[in-house]
Amino acid sequence: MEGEHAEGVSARAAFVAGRGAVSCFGAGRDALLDGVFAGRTGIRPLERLAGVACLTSVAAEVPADVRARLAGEESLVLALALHAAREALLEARLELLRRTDGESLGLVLATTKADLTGGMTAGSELGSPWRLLARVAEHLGVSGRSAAVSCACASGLSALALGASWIRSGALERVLVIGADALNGFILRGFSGLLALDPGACRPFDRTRAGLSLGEGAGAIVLSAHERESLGVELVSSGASNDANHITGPCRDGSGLALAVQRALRRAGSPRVDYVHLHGTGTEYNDAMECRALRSVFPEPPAASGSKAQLGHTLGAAGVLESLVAIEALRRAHAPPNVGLRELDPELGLPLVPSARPLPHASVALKLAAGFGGINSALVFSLGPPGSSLAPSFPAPAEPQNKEPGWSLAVPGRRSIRITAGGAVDRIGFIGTSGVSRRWSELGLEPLVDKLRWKALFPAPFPDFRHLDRLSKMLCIAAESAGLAPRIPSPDDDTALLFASAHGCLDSDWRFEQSIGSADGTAAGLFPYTLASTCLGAVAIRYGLRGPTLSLSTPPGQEGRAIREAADLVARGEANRCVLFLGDWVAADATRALQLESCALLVALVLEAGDPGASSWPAVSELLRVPDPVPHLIDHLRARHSHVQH
Amino acid sequence: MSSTSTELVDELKRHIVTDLELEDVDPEQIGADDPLFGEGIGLDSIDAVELVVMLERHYGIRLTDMATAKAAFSSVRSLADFVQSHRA
Repeated sequence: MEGEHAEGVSARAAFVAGRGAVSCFGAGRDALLDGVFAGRTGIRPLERLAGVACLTSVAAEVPADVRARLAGEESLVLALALHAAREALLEARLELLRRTDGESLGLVLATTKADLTGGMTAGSELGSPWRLLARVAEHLGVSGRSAAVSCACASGLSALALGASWIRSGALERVLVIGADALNGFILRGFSGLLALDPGACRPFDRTRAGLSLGEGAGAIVLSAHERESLGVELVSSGASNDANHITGPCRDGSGLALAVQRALRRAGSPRVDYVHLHGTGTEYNDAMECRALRSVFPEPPAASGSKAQLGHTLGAAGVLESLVAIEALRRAHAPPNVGLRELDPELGLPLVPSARPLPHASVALKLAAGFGGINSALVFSLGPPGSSLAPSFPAPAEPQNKEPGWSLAVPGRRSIRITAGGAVDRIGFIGTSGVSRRWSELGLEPLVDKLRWKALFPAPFPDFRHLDRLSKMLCIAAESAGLAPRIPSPDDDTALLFASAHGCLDSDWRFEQSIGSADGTAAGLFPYTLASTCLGAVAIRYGLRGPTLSLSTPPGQEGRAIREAADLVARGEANRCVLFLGDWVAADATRALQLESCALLVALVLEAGDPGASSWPAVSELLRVPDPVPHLIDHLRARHSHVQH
Repeated sequence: MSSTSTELVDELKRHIVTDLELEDVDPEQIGADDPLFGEGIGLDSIDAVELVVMLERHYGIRLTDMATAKAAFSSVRSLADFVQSHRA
C-alpha cells in the first residue's frame, strides 16, 4: 500500500472506496454508468428551463420525476449533492461510521455557483459554495476538515486532487468528494451570451461541432487511505497548470493542458496510460487544444473518449461525474463511445472512434479537464489487484503538528513554509512589500465607485487591465503591491494561485444579473468573471504563473483556512511558491442593493519554502491561530510599510 | 466599394472606443479598413464578445454564431456594412 518516495519517505495512496451519482440518466451511479456505456444521451429539449431566452433548445437536465422525488420544493443542487453523497457513503460502508466519528471524514465540495435559486436579491443565498458545503455537512453529520472548491469547469478534478492530498499528507483517513451543479437561467444565459452553446445537442470532436450543451447533476467519490476498502481503483496522482494565456479560451497549442498531464504522469512515476477520458466540450477550440495536448505528450495517443454529448457539460459536477466514467472504463476494460461524433474532424489528428470498444490493456486511465481562467487539471487512476499500488512520488506526509483531527499542518520537518511578500488593498488605499503605499484620497479616487485605470496607480504598463472586472482589478493591485512583477509565462513556473473569499464573484454576479434584459443588453463579457477562477486567470496571465490554480469559498472571517491549504501545497512540493489571496471586493452599488456590509478588504501573500528565520512576517503556524487574519495582516503591512497613518 | 455612410463608420468607431474601454485610442485614429483584431487595432476574443453586445445595445442586432461575427468584425467598414444590411 505504501510507496517509497525518491528520498526514502513513504507516501500514502488514495483508493476509490465509494461512488454515487445523479445525472440526466436519473438517480444512482448505475443509471449514470449504464447510460454512458450504452451510448445513450440525456440531452433533451429544455424542460424546467424552457422559458429562458437563450441560443439553444436543449440541455441535459435531471428528469422531472427524479427531481420531484429528490428535491421536492427544496434546493435542487443540495438534493443532488446529498443523494450522490449518500450513495457513495453507503458503498464505502461509512453510513454507520459517520454517526459516531464524523470528524474523521473530510469533505470537499466542487460547485460553480452553488444555489442561485434565490437570485441576486437582498437576503438570498447569493450562490455561495461555502453555504452549500455547510448544509451538506450538516445533513451528513460530517464535521471534519472541509473545503468548497469553485474552479469553473475544472472544479471536480481540483476537488478530487485536494481530497487525495489530504489523505496522502496523512491528515485524514477518508475524504468524501462531491461535485454538484444545478442548471439555472444565470448559467444558461451566460454561456449563451458567449455564443458558446450548440443550438442542438453538442458534437464533440466532430467536424461540424458548434459549441457545448449544458447539463446538471452530482457525482460523489469516497477516497480512502485503506486498501482493504478499495473498489480496485486508486487515484494515483494529479497534475495542474495554468495556461497564463487567455481568461476564457484555452491555449491554442494545448501546451497548458500538456503541462498538467506531464506533471500528473511524473508524479505517477510512469508514463503509461491505457485510456483517456476527455474534457471534450464540443467547442472548436477546446477540442482542438485537447487533441494537440495529447499528441504532444503521447507518441501514440491511447484510446480516448468523452461523455459531454451524453451528460451535457455539468460544470462543477463534471470532473467527479466523468471520473466515475473513467474509473468504470478501467473496471469494465471498455472505452465508452464518443456520442455525437459522426465525422471526425481531420484537423484533430487523433484516431477517435464513435463506438464503444474493449480496452486490451486497462490498468491506467487519465482524466482531463480545463476551465475558465486557463485552469488545466489531470488525474491518473489505476486499476490493480491488492498490493499493486503505484508509488506516488509525493514528498513526505509530515508529522501532525497538533492533535486537532484533520487539521494537521504538513509544514514541519524538511520543508517549512514562510511568507516572503505581501500586499493589500482596502477602502483606504493599497500597500505592500513592493514599497508602494498609496491612499485613494490622495489619488482622488473612490475605489468602491470609480472605474480604475492602471496607469493612475502603477508605473509598469498593463494593457489588458481594461478587460478585467472589479474583483480581478483589485487582485492585481494587491499582487502588484506585494511586488509581483509582470513576466512571460514559462513552463518551468509552477507558482500556485489560491483565492479564498466569502463572497467570491458577487460583484460581477450581481452586475451580470442586473444586465439581463436591461436596455444596455446582457453584459456577456462579464459572465466569465462570475467564476473566481477567471479572476485568478487574469492574475496568472499578468504575472506568468503556471502552477495549480484553486479558488475556495469560505465563510466570512474564515478565509484563514486557506493559509493552511496554501502552505500544504508548497510543503507537499506541488508548487515552489504560492500566491494566496484572502478577502472580498464588492463595489458600493452592489453591497447597497444586496444590503451587505462593506466587502472591500483583500490581501495577497507570497508563501515559499524556507525557514521563517529573521522574517518580519508572522510564522505561518502562528498566523493560523489568528481568528480573523485578513485585517490582522493588513495592520501588519501598514505598521511596517506605511507612511499612511490612520 | 461600400456604400456605407461615413457617419455610421464614425459612430461605430466611437462605440468601439467607449464600449470596449480602449484607453489611449482616439476614434479618429482608427482607419475604416484597419483590421480590428490581431495586428491593427489589436482587439482580442474578449473584445469580440463585447462587440456582439455593442451591436445589440446600439443597433438591436442579435448575433447568434461566432462564424457570422468573425466575418463582420474584420474592420470598421465590414462592421458598418453588416449593420447597414441588417437595418435594411
